[in-house]
Amino acid sequence: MVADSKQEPEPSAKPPSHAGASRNPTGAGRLAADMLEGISDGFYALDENWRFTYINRRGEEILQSLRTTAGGLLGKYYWDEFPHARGNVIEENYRRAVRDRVTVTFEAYIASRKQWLDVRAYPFDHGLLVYFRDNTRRIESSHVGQMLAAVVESSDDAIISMGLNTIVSTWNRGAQRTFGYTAEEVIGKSITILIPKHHENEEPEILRRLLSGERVDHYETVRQRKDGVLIDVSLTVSPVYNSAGEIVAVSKISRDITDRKRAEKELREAQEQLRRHAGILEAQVAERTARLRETIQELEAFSYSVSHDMRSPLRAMHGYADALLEEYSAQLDATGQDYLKRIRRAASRMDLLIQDVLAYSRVSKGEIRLEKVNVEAIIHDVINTYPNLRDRGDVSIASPLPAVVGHEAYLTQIISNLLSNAIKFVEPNVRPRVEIRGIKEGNMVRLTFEDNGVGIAPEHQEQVFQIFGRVYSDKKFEGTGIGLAIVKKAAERMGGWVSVESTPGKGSRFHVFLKQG
Amino acid sequence: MTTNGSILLVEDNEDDIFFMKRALKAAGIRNLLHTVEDGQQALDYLAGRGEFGDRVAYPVPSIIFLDLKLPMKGGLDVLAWIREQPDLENIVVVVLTSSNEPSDLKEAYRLGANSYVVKPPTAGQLIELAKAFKWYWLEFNEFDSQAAH
Repeated sequence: MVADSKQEPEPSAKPPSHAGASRNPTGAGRLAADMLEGISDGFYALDENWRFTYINRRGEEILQSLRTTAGGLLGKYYWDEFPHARGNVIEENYRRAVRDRVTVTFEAYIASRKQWLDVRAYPFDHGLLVYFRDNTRRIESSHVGQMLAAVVESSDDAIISMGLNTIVSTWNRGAQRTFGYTAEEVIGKSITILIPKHHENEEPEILRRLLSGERVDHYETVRQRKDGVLIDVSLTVSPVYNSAGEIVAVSKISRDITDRKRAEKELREAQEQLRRHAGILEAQVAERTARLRETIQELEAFSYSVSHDMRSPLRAMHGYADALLEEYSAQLDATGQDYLKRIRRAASRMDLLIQDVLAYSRVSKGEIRLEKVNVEAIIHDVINTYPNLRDRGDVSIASPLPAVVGHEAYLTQIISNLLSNAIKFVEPNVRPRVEIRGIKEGNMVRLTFEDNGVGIAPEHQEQVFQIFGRVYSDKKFEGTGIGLAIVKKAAERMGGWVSVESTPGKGSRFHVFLKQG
Repeated sequence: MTTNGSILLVEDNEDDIFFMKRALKAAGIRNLLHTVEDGQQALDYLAGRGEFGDRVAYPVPSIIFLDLKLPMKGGLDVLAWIREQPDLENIVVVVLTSSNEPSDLKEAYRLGANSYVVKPPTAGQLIELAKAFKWYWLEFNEFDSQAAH
């Protein structure tokens, strides 16, 4: 409860001279009573026993809201009727007034009703005359005002108010901290002392915007402190209206954003440095990539031409071995002829190997364009080109196969390698069978080559796709060990991949994933 | 109609020359065979320069087996030159090379080769090739007999 007690030596208002008067006075008493009835404040009189001897209508009204009992107050014991008055500022003041014969003035807050009463009490005839009014609104607004004033004062931001003539009228502690001027130095002067050179026309501009109804919110600019130092600030400017809705003053909140601005600048510089470094790195990477690419191209060209040129001496070896066998068989015994046959076989094997290496390198290098390809047509082409595929095995196609995009030569390579593998890797006396199916999966097509061959054990399923990743010896199944590596590489260059499902003894399913056409 | 036109073999690899001669013989091709071992010699022969001016000893061939990888001048250059000579335009040029580069194949046909054959890896296959060649080109294929010789 907030109360403000003041002591006054002499009351200025004279209460009526008759205490204990009822509502039926005579003459001057009646005049006085009429007056009391007419005023807008409450008035009552208490005798030496604290009983009501008089109360005016207004008083009854005001006090009615505080009462829990009904009926007239005359003759009633004050402290019974208003138990809330006990033990607080009211009782304290009333007893003092009576005891010390002094006038008391105080504010009483009735918590239960959230009401503020302005009270003045005069000792009279061993009793008390009380004059009071409900001042909730005034007192509250003044308390709110005090609270706001406290907020403004304690704020770190500079809160300044000024008239439309730019003369400063209030200056909080935050303003002093921000700008260096004390309130005394600044109040009554124009706000323009804060405005540095080159920013002079900001103030009229801000005022103009305000007067046209705009708010000025987080306006970033520069101001000057008392010591001349320039600081970055963020301004929020609001109009102050009078009760007629006219702008009569301006309230400015200035926040010192020097630190923030510095942090922003440092961040920007750090980002710039980062960008520069990233740029340098990128350039380095690009250069290295270019050089790497060059090197790879050179290696590819080298390995290609070397492989290519190796075929020539192989032809010679094979050819001379043949010539010997044909023209000198009479001079050669079985062993001699056998040696020559081995030379021939070795030369053939090497030639096959070179061809596969060349095929692999053809599939690895160069830019390729993907286009729609007819898989079924390619399969038929392959079978026709290598008749032993058809002669030695059965190939069936689950027609129609979904359309794919790819590279015709690569796809040919894949199909011929997979089919020739299927035909080759079977148990003796088993007729190889391959079924080719296709199905759309997501945005890819999965082509499956299912065979009845010897199968691949799980621990070998990864290495079969590697160059020279042979599982079987050459004795069991002839081969270079590159075929599936070519299949994998070719599929990947077309944006797809390969996988295998297989059980030894139960055949294999090779899956080739390609882009949908 | 079996042609008696001579054959010019343009090949630098002596082993390949050996096997080719053997294969032609095994296939029963008895046409006159001359061999030159580089591109420049091929041009000289066809132009009749130097010793090749003797057209009795060195007749203009009806068929040329042309390797691509040659010293002095490459096979494709020779081919390009041949096709520019109006009096040589009827010669059958078979590119017989170890290269199966698609670009070589494309270029050879573009320049006017009649055929492109990749040298078979074994001598046996070369003989088969020679036999097939004889059968198709020498026995059935018609040559323009009015072409200058």
